[in-house]
Amino acid sequence: MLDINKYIDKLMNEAQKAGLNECEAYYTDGDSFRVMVNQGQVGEYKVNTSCGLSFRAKIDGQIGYSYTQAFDDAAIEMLIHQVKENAGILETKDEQFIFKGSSKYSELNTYIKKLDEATPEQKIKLALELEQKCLDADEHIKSVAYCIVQSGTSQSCIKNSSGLDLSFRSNGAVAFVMPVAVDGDKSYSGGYAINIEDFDHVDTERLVNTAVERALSQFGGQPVESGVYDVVFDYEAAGELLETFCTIFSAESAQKGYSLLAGKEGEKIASDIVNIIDDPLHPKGPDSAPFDAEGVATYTKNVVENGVLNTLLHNLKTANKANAESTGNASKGSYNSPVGISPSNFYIKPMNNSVDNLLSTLKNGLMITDLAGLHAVDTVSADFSLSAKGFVIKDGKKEKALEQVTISGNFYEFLKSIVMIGDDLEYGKIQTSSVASPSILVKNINVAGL
Amino acid sequence: MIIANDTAIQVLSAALKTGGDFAEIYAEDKRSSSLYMVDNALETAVSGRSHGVGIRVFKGVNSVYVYTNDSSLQGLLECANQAAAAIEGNEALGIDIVLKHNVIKTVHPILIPPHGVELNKKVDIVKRAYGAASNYDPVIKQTSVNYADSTTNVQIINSEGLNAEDERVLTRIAISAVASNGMENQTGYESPGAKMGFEFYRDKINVEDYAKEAGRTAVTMLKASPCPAGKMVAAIENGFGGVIFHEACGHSLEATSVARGQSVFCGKMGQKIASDVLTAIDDATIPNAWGSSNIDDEGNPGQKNVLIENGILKSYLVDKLNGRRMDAEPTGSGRRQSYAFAPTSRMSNTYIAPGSSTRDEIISSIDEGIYCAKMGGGSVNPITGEFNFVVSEGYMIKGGKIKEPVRGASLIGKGHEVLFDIDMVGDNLDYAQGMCGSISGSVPTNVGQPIIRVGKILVGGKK
Repeated sequence: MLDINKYIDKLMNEAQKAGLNECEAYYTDGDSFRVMVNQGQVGEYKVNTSCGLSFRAKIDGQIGYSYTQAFDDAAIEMLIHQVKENAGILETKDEQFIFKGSSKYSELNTYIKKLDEATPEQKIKLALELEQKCLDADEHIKSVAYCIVQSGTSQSCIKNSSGLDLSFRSNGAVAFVMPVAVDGDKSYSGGYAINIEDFDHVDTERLVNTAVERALSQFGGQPVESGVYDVVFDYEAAGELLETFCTIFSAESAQKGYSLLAGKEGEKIASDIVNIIDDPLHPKGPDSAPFDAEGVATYTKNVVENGVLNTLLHNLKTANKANAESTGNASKGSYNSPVGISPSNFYIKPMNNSVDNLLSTLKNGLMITDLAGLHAVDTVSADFSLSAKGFVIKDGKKEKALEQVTISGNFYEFLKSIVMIGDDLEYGKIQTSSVASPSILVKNINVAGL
Repeated sequence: MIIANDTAIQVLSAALKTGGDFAEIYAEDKRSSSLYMVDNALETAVSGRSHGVGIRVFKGVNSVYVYTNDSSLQGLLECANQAAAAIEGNEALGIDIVLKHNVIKTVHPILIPPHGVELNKKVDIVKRAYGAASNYDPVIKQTSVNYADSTTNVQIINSEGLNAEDERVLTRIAISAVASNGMENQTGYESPGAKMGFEFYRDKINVEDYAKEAGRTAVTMLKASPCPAGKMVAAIENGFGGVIFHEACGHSLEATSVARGQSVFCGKMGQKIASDVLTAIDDATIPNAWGSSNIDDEGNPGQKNVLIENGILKSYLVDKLNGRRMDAEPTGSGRRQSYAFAPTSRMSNTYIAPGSSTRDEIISSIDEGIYCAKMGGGSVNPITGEFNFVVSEGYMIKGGKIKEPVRGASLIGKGHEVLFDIDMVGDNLDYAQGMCGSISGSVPTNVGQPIIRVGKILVGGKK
């Protein structure tokens, strides 16, 4: 068995010998489990252990990167050689950093020991139970397109020539079902996922009932007339929109001219009621960690406060360029990605309004619960035109299902059009993704339909 | 990385020891290099090597997949044992494994292997592209160029005796230009690629042409007004316009959906699912095309599959596991992003075959409608057939003529309905490159078509 710490030490030693005085190893490893059942049987079953090592060095002010998943002496030679070669061609004028370390890191323990004690049999049993419960929930449910239980543990470590030596381990588990309801010759699917903290206590009722209700509630869906509507976006649709466009809060995007928030710190960018928080230390946040991808200590901050932009999200490079401090938002898409910027647990702060409250305030309009096409959106213009589903709201109540319409707008304008914010945000219970929002009421959305 | 026959037999036997009826080893070693230029400077250079092995075991239609980065005999046996433990059973079926050596003849010759090319030559290509895009017009305020190449060596060995190796070389450059007036930004984007080596830039494309094209789109869209909304006649241009077939139909013909009864096209074989003018093909054998492969990721030779012929459904795209579920032969369509994914049925180079109309005939036939010069990405729900995709460069058509540019448009509909609404097919077939995401990860695929006319489609816009 490979001792990764020894391997990294050897790599750092060899790097020093090769004249790389400022260098850093970033290592991740993890294991995951996933079972998908279909018609009472285990259809697909997947387990893995995986690891990867990324190496970077600052040479004449430029940082070159290399990575490997093979851990032998040849790889050490390759890493050092490629880092030198890659750094040698770079030309950026922005100062970059191999970080010495923050003075203090928050205590954070999101690791749930009990999760790792659950057996594969337990997870398979849960998946089979979920599928059966979906099928039993209503006569219209004819199949379950996806019924998945998955769990995983991951660890990331940073070690560098300035003495930084950090590691953090976390784990998690999720169950996802997508029942298919058939109404005549039409099929409707409803997907829903929940976090699992303890395989002995899974809220299967909530998972199954929500997913089944989502499929059934679409029966008879029709478009509405094209026009301008006030719209309640449920927490998933609102969260997905924020996730799609959260890159506009990156200082990197702003400095490169990809975000129109450049230089807008201290200015109003959203309606007064909007507060957006980046919360890397949330005990139940899906993306919680005490340090970022450069080893900078993370902390919780109001990115938008009462509609005013407080700060963009920085790493060391963008902060230095902007004469600011890093906000601890350096990130890597995967172990082998270069350092970039992303939010951690990032959300619109909930307010004290139930969804029913939002709907009765809306009175007449639309409720959007499902958006498609988000991955194809151009975040630079921030224009969007998305396929949407949901409900027609009449007198504050769901009147009928809505489908085959598009909603369009621009995200910068969207932030200014939020007039009411719901209370349905709770990591670990309602939200499973790190960028999230409660349900919101938004004025004047362009809808294309009939 | 070659797994020796005796090692492979040992590992496959371990994987089958609890009664599995099929086992497969997929080993992968991938060398990649990428460069990123933005703000007038080369900002990032990353290169490296990913490496891993996946072991798959079937028992009937149940499948187990285990992967690891440790390709030592011990690592492989651990993986095989884990897979075997997940199969319900105690006893091996006694399958006698006799490995062949499948000789794969490449139909995608690589003239200049990219990992042997000096970094400076790659830098030159990046700078040429960068310069051409950023100098296109003063309103271009930012340009970025992403260069990437990869060389992937795979070996696929299974308990039926298959033992095949393949080398896949991919080359691509993505150029993005942002035009800005200070209040608004618009982007133009081009990303040509091929299953080729560095000769791609010498023999196949001139990067400056693509870079200028990205600049032109951005500048044009900055002047565009918001697109009107509603049902319209649409002319969708060739190349990336093929994303309409990819989303509206292609995904729903994948056995991934069909085998489990989760597609609007289930049980429609031999039936009419599209208008007479529509013939559609998935062809993994096009030499050096972005989505081609000598063998798929299950070791079967790539094929040319006619999916729809004159409106009649002729074939699904089938992988081995789903082939068992639906009692159909695999079509060479088993693909995966990497060793970290079990393969499933995927598209390769998928296109609408050329028809008889000229481009002029199609445009002049439309009294009022939208001309989609460039399409962006899209997605589909195969269960309901609902698809959507973005129009990245659109124009209004009035009186048979292309008029003012419009922006912020998307097209949505239901796949099984829109196929009947494609009523004219042009003669200018062309392809474009994309990355397609599904349950076996992100794989390179070509979309393609000649210009087509869609009799009616819902255009999502602002007005």
